[in-house]
Amino acid sequence: MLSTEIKGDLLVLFHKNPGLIDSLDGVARRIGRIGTAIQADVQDMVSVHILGARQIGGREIIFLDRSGDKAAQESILNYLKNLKGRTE
Amino acid sequence: MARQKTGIVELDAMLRGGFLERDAVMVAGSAGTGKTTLSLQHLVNGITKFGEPGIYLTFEQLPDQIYRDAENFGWDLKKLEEQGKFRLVCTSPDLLLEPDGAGQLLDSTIKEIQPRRMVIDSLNHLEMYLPRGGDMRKEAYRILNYVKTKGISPLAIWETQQTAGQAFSVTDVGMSFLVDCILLLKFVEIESAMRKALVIMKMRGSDHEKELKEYAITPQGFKIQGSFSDYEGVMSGIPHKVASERFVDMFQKASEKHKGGLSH
Repeated sequence: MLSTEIKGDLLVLFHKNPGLIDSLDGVARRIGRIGTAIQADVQDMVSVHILGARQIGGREIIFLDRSGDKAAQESILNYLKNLKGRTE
Repeated sequence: MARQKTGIVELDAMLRGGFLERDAVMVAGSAGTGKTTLSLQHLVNGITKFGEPGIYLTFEQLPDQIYRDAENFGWDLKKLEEQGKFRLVCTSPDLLLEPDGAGQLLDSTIKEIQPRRMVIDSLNHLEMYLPRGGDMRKEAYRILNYVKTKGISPLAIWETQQTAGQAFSVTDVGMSFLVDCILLLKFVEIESAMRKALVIMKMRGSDHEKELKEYAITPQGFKIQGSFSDYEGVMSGIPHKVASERFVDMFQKASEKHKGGLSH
């Protein structure tokens, strides 16, 4: 899930600022990058429902998919619990 | 007339009971005067004292800074969000300026928490992103009306360029006619100290306090302390003691000098 540094930056940004709803360029600016540099990572995170996307005036806007993000966190937590169980 | 209290007792008294419901309010002032603090306190009090959920819409400052700053005043915004009574929405102004941008950005949040109050921080940022030839007054009018038609009272922040020692006119805010109420926060220099003054410059359809009041940002938030009754010219930026106060001062100084002379 965090295969690149950009994904990590995006995850931190949206977790610290869950009310952020912005265009690709707007989101990129807030982590000191440009839209084209984060596009692929954003698409990956949208495809696993951590981020959501929709259109406003022909532009795609990005936001935290609160329910998808919560589900992802729970599955990571379960995975870590299982891992801990196996190693004990 | 239904009033919307700010929860700041002295300010509500100045407003004769609070803002009129669904009135568009503008809080104007230069950087550091406490516009954000006053606006946040209005929202937090709305939720905690009057059961009115609220939205804080910010363009520039990231929410994590606002959460942190609010915490310094003892306001736990994250907890209010968890309770479904508050939302901090951060976006770029150009998205809000898109046709139906406000609806696309805010409709779902409005449905979710049913807010009665909304802070827009700030109109200056909207103006910055306005396309060339765009009419800021029309755009602001559209956005304020969108908020009002949802049954929400908007409070917009406007940062003025004014500094201490300069006068301020209501017409300096080009959009003053769009709003129903204007609160101006202002630095004033009095006897080599920087003090803060608040005045209600306009309140459509209601009487209001005309006097300038001194305020401070305390650890509990915005606190109105008293009036500048001993001074004239505070608004013009050249405050001086009223004649009677000057006479008292002169008399006291002369008296002290006389006493000093006698003791030697």
